Amino acid sequence: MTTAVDTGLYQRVQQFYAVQMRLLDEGRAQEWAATFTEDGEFGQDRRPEPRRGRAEIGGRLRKAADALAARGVVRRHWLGMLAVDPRPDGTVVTRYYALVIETPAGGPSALHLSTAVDDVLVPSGDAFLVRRRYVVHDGWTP
Amino acid sequence: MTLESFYVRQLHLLDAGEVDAWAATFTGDAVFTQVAPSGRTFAGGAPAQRRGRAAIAGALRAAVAKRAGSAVVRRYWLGMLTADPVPERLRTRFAAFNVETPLGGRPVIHNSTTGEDLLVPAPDGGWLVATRRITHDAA
Repeated sequence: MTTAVDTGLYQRVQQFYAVQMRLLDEGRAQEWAATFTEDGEFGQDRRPEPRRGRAEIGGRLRKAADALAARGVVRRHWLGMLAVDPRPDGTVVTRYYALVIETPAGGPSALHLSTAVDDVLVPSGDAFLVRRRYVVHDGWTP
Repeated sequence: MTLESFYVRQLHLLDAGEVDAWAATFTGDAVFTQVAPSGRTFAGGAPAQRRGRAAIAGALRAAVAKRAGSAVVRRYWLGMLTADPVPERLRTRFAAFNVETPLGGRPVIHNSTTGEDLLVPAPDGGWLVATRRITHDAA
């Protein structure tokens, strides 16, 4: 609660996510995968094993994006309620919510998914790379 | 801590059902008022106006207990935040809605509201809520 977050860091993290989510929604799998570290890990509550490494992370997005395109469906990720915690080791721990809006050709748009996400970011130039991500899907049931 | 970060952390505590940590973001004598549609009842029979940190915590504790039985996930989103300084305090206004997702179901926007807070500086450099008034759009 008492961590002072400097506004510059907060805005840079927000910018990073805006870019990253745009790549995701546009299905730009290789560029999206490059926003993770080489050994990046992508875990979620609905899959027991995390995806590891850029090739696997990007490969999964490629398949998912192709499937959506085949159905003529567009998805947009809206990210908000972002908490940013810089750590002494230089990493940045974040927690945020993301809503996914889904729109079929001709509409209408509807909320598709509500999630909560925990990330560990490492600085990379002016931006960041995701070292570890864990996504909780609200309402998911095995 | 930025004002935006204060609200994000406060609402994360609320969504996580961290009742005591959430209540600690209010002053001991804080007043929390909900302007809801007439006939709206609150979990545990909490009044629409809660006076003091203990009463504020009690209302949330009852709501958390009620929701735990329903397996619905609720998350608050806050935005459109503005702040006006008043002597030694900060008057804020914002919009907030919550998204509810039932088990196995799709999320829906459950309740859209506007809020007005009076914040006082906290000893640790952050803020404490002295008064909060949440007006439900349905009211």
